[in-house]
Amino acid sequence: MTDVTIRNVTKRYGALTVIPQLSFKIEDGEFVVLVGPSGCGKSTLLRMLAGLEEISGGDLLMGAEVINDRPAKERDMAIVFQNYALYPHMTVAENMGFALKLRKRPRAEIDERVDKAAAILGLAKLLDRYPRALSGGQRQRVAMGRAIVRDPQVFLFDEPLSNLDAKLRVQMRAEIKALHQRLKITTVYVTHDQIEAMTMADKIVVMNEGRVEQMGTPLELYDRPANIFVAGFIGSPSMNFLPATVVLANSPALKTPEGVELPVDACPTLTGRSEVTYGIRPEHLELGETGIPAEVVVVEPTGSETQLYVTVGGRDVVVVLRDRADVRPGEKIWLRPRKGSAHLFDPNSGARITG
Amino acid sequence: MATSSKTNRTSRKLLWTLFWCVLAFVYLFPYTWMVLTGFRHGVDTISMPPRFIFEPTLAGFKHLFEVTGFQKYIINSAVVTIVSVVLVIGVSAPAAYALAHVSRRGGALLVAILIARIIPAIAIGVPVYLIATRLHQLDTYQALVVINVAVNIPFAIWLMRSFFMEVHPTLREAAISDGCSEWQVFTKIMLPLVLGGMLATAVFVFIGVWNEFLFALILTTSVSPTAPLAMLGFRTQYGVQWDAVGAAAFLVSTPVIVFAFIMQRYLVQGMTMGSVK
Repeated sequence: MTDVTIRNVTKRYGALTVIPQLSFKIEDGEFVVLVGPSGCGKSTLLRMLAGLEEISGGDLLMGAEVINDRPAKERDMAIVFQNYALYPHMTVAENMGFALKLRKRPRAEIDERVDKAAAILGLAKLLDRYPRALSGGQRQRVAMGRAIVRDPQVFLFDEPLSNLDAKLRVQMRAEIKALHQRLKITTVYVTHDQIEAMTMADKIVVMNEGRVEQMGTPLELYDRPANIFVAGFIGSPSMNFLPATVVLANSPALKTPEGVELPVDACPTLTGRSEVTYGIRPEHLELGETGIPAEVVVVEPTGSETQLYVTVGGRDVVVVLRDRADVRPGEKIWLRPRKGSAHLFDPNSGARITG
Repeated sequence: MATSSKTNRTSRKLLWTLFWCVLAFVYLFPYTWMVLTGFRHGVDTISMPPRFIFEPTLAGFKHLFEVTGFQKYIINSAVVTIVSVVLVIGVSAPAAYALAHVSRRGGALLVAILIARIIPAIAIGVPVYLIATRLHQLDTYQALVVINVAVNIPFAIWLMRSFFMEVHPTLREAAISDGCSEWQVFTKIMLPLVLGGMLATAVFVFIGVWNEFLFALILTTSVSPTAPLAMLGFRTQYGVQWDAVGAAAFLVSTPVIVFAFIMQRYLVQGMTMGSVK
């Protein structure tokens, strides 16, 4: 097990720079999730870590050692691919033991390690099967088993759950997390799904266009997003954003262009600012007797929650109520933001206004 | 109404069956006639009206082996074909793999490969003859092998590349990550997966080399002529020895048919690989 340092790493394809000088550290035993929209560079970074892509600039370090020029097979990193990449002509046992066979390990050792990994992943009865005879979840476990058997210093996961159905994804998420808690191997996990990131990570790295937008624990990113991009990316449904004009700089008073007052109970000084972007998470809005006036457009009861699609001054806003609500489309309601839950952002740079 | 649509369906089926029967007849009749020619006397072959009931004879085959020495032609064909197929597959498979998975700049090479296929063999017949003469390689196995390998490699690379491309690139990446060298990826991962395609390619190359006539005619005389050339000798001043011609044609075509029959599973596998996900 080891820590991994990404220091000013750059990736260029000809004249196109897809990752301009990225730097952060993954601590020993940490479960770090790289999350971001498609094309943000997260998979490219993972492949550079694995040695499957060349690094155009900067350094990759495992511990104190620079590994830029070390070939993939010597990096002691095991990668789990999105499409599992199981060898179709080998059985489950042969797939899992392949890396050790290449290293000419004794047969007894290979069998022992394969059996041990199979027991952890519930694959003991499937060792003689071929990948074509397995379900998606079983194939994913075999892919993880192949990685575990190698006993690497770092696990790399490249969107491993993307090809699974929703129910299986939830189950496998928990299994992967439990596996990490058991094995405590440094893990870098790539996903575009922010729910996976929030539920699995010790630390999340939000990427956009090759840059790190913010890095922190899931709750840090949820409670104090650094900018509009992170605020909109983390959380499902996404945060609501409303443009607002500062009415009084030293007293919390904001209004939308349509004249709707937005209550802000703890607000940084807005001196010198005339406009802000007001952000409020759907789950932080409650029904009240007063507050923000809204008109209900669509009601979506999910059983344990009720999602409301409303308009505030003609602008679309999503509300998630943790209880069942007796509201109907067309009804006028009042929304009250939970205390201290509003976020303010600079409308030009998108950065969080912290005072 | 139901009866009329059933009648229509039956009529359509009958018409299609008739069509396929005619097509099968057109394809199979010449070959069948050729086989029959090998097993009957020449006079039965040229008689009018044609005789389909006759006394079978092996006189044609006897003439082939006792007078013509046909076994030499068959051995020459076998040697040239087997060596050529092995060399073509041996060179083309790694090249096709590299073009499919390793090289990012194979486009120009692929175009060159396709251009090589466009050139008709007759256009390079004279230069090939002159080169073989200068190198003192006329009437040798190696001359035939070299020219057949050169002619068939582009086709084999082009065909096998498509089979290698059916293998997902992440399999190569997974193998590299597991510790494979590029050669180990090729031998342990890729080859087992494209075996059907490779055998299909081998069958096509086998058929092409076995039946190759032009370069055999140009480059050989008495030592290394191949089986397709044998039939030239049966047209004499006294007429055509039809029984020997039929026997020779039967013997030349049989190995190819048997080989293709044995390999048909791989042929189908190779031709349909990747067509159904």
